[in-house]
Amino acid sequence: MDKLLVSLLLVIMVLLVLLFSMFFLLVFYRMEEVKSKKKIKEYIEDRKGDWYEYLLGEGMRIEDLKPNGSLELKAIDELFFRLSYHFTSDEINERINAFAALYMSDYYNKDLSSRSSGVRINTLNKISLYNLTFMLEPVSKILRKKKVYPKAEYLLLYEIIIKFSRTDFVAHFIHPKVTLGEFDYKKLLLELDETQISLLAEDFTVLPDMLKLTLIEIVGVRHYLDWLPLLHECLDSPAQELRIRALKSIAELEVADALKLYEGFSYSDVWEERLMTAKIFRSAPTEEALPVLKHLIKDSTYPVRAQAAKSMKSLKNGQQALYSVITTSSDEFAVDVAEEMFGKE
Amino acid sequence: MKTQNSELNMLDASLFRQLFYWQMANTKRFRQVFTVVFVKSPESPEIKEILLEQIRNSDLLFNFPTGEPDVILMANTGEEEADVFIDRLRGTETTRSYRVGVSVIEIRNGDATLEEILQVGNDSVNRALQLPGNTPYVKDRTFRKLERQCVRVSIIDEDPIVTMVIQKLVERVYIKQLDLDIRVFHDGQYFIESDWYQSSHTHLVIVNDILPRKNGLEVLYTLRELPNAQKYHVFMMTKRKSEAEMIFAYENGVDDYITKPFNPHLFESQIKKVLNRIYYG
Repeated sequence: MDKLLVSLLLVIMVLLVLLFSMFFLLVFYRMEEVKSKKKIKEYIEDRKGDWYEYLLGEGMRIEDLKPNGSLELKAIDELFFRLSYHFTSDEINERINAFAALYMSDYYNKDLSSRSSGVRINTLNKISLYNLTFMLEPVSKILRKKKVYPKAEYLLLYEIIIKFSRTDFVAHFIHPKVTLGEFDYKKLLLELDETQISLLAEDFTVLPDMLKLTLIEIVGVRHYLDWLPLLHECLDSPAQELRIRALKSIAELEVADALKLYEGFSYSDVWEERLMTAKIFRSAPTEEALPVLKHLIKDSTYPVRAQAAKSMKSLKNGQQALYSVITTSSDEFAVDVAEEMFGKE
Repeated sequence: MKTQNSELNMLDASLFRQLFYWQMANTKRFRQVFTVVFVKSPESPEIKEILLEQIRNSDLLFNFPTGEPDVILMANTGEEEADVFIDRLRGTETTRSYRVGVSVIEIRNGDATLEEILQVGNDSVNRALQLPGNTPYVKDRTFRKLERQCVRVSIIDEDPIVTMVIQKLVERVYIKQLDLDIRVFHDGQYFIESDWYQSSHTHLVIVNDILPRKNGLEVLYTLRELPNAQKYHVFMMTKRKSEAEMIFAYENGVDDYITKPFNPHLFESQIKKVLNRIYYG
């Protein structure tokens, strides 16, 4: 009995010692953290004037700001973040980039190869925010690794590649390391300028299907008229979604070109294609648009009828045409939708 | 040009002092420009009738004793507009045989005194009469130079890096005759509790929308409720870029809406533009 009691007491003692050691360890870490935060704050307070002179003035040489130790590097990183959050200019970006390339390359590389995904994501965000172009190679190197990263990281990596390299992104887009959804592609494509989009279009046939769809949509959103031939090519595609998106972008471009080509879609079995055709014909000349829209206003699907009525109304003398539908049509659904359009006035 | 009540535009010289001070008060407070025209014709006392016909309804002619120049007070009028009056006076040369000397003094400087202006006016009209022609004139620009003015600048942001950068940018702005008195605050409550903003100075307030204790909009409401709210020019810095938020801010009294991150040099130009407008009107 006594033996059992002694063993129990021993266990309790050991547990208590363990708990206290953990407690003191945590207190020690916390104290270290507070101390380093205080030092960072002091560095920023002492040197903020010098940094202003370097980034926006003329009176400070890059060598005079050479960091001493990891705490100063952290402080400078925080200073960059706070400045970039509030201010932006080519001059600031160039000077941050020049300084970081000279003194902080190891600091960012170390964080980029951290085991913690959070640290890596933060570093990637900072590379993008501060425009650290010299980090392009380490970023590209990550993409060449076999190791699989979370999708959020890949998105950031692609974003940086788009930003810092005019051409390298195409290969990554053709063979992404992770399956990207429409929203991801949209986010990335919105970062591209027209020249980069055109570069992507050169390899249109080999692009992943989701990227094709997104790309086609972006063309409409950004009104890239030069892309009309490609959109016309997409209309012959066996992929139904691609045809619908191409028609949608053509409607966004508001062109009255190749009307005969679009007219055929007013008899399509797919109601979305008929809907987009009705939308396209709102930009066509009245005499060519009316026969198609008069046909579509009798469509079996309500959205198609409503769009046909809306397009008809926006044509020159469209109000009269719509009125004639009300007075002469034998299709009660067409009459309904035309009356509804008048009611919306 | 003139109405039948033109005689109402002629006042006794004794009233000149009061009306001059009234005009001067407006110059000092609202930077309103006015012009005083001295007219002298040693050869004819009928000049007053001609002057009454040529001045505008808003101008006042002061009838000074014979031998002294007559004085026309042109409220809210600059030198360029006074030129039109001289042109009209020149048009009367065919109907008169005597010479008329004119001196035009545009007043922008709120520190100018009546005695100084009368002295300069008398001297310059005599100088004009020494020039050739039937309507010789002189433009004296002694009082065009503005007096030194102090503008208060308040920078309100939680982050000391931001306030430091903005302070340095504002300090870089140089406008002759304008002194900038800059003060930094790190929260809205501290600014409101200070009596710093309750002076008669023109005041530039550069405030962030999000602040500890009292936010930027609350600071704005406090300023706009004051009776002399128009002396505050408020720049609001924000991350909010939506149309609705911008409209809301402008409708509630923000003068300039600055979305972050912004270009510091562009901001500096905006400050300079506003200060120029404050100073030169």
